[in-house]
Amino acid sequence: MIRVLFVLLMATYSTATYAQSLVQNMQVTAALDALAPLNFEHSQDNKAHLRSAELMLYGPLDPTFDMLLNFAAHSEEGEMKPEVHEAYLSSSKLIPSSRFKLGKFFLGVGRLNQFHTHDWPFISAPRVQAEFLAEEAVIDTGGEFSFLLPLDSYWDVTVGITNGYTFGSHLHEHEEEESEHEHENEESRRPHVPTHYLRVVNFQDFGNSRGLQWGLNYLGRTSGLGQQTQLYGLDVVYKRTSGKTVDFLFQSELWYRHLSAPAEDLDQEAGAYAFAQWALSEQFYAGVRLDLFKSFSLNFEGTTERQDNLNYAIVPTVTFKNSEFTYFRAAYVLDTQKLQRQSDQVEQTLQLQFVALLGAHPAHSF
Amino acid sequence: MKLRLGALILLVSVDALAKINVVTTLPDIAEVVRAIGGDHVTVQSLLSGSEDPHYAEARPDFILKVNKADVVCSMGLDLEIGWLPKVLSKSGNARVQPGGKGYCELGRSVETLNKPTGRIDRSLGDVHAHGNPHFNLSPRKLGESGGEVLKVLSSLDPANKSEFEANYSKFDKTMNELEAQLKSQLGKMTVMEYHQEFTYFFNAYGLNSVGSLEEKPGVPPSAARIAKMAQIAKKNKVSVLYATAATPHKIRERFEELSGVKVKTLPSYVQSHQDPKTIEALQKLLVESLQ
Repeated sequence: MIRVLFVLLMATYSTATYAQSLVQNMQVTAALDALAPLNFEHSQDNKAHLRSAELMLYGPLDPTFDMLLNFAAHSEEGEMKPEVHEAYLSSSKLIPSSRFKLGKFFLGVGRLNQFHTHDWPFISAPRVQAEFLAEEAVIDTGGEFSFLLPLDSYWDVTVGITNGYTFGSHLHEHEEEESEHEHENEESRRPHVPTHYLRVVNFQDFGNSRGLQWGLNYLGRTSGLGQQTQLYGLDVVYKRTSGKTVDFLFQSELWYRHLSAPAEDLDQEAGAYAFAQWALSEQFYAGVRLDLFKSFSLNFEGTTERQDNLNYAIVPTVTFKNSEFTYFRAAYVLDTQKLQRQSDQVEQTLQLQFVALLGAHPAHSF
Repeated sequence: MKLRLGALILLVSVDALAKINVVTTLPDIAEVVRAIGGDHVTVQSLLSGSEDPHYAEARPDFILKVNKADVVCSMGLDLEIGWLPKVLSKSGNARVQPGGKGYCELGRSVETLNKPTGRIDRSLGDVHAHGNPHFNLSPRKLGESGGEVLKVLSSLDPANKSEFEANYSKFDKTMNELEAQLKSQLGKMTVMEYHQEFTYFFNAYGLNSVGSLEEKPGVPPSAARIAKMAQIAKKNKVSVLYATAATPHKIRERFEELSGVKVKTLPSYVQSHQDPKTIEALQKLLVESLQ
């Protein structure tokens, strides 16, 4: 796989760097996302590493269909593991007011889940994203169909169904794979209900380059072992732009998860994050994120008595954008776990990141 | 039978009266389309002229407007590359996507300036491989660009082709006359710009430009660059440096302080919600700022 990546990189390097916009058919983007965490409590985790290296090829296949192929290598426990990250056929020309994808892709639910980590406005995943979805995004193979409702205001509806054999981050997937072998492939059984999801999005224009997008999300899946997952979410993005900069950004997601299994207790959890960012100049941005996470079904060990709990984090973040293609970011994470009748557990981390994008111009998504 | 025939005639009449729904990226292009399409088009611009069209985002309200459009007209030359492709693909409207009958890039008809030669990569800054895309500040170039609008409208509504052709000739003539008239009011002057978005204006009116304050397009100039250009401006007796509202204040002030040259903040596009609301008004504003 590494060899394939290397050959592709070398083969595309000349076109990508010399005259990208003159490449008539295929667009090429290479992206690096590097991190250096400095955990104050667990110094053994402090290691600069490449979080991901991606090579994405995309373009029209013919007058009707497009294709995207994204190879990525992710750092997992210190080792770069390459994989086909996304690979899908898509079209926005076949059915009026609609678009669809077939293949392997980031599921079109929530806000963060639809973007690569190098396109996020902060460094690390809020706990709600990591716990309920994945460290980057839930990736699966299946089909997704989106359509614009024929109304005077913007209402975009997405429905999707994917095979659902795995769910969550790569790390979770690998863990599941190991677990599968250990437990005689119990988890790799055909899921009782494959992963299915629905997202409805609306947009409100407030004039003067201000706009708010909000979405309602549902995702469900029942694993081969009968564990049922139901996720309900609300995501909000507000932007105010001035000239060439987004001078104020507010982004938030609120999720509720309901887990149930035939022989297990009901598990209910909720989490949210809210991030606000101001442009200090064309190149400098400062923001702060607040994360919240709570379990409604946590018991004191060995009892049926509920244990009150709350996990929260405050994450101030600064970003320097050298250009649209290179930026540097620093964040401080103050994470506090409160458990009833226990002392608070506090963890502090300083994170440094750089992102580099080579090749085709990245899309300015709202 | 008579009723059916009547209904058919009514349907045909309604169809004949249906206007072509055109969405443009900028108000400047909207004016070109209105001039050529006349009563046969309805036109709305996605941007209001106050934004930087290179850094705009694929807003959902843009997607909705494009979803309902028969034609989408853009400047092209990669000016809107960051957001327009996303808007087009998310609209689910095959008519206006590349290859569709309603896809219209005005820059295709324009002989561009600052076309880079040799190796092109991002070490050169935000370079456009097909040349400087800010041709809207030359009335004559805007006239040229109307050729693309004529092609697309004539293809969609061949019954009114001759009217579109007549409108186009009139528009092209008006633009050429406007440029000639305003040029006669200006003498020889030496000017500068912050970003290469006034280049076509300088070129159209025979103004001598000593260059841009940005060393590389889209990259804010360093302190050394500002100092160097301030020296050049002094030496060449530059009258004015043209900038837009997006130009960083500190850079503007520093350059003024070092060079003694007045920096004028002016719009580089027609504005939807405030003056200047027409191509002519914008040109006159720019010319008057030199007098």
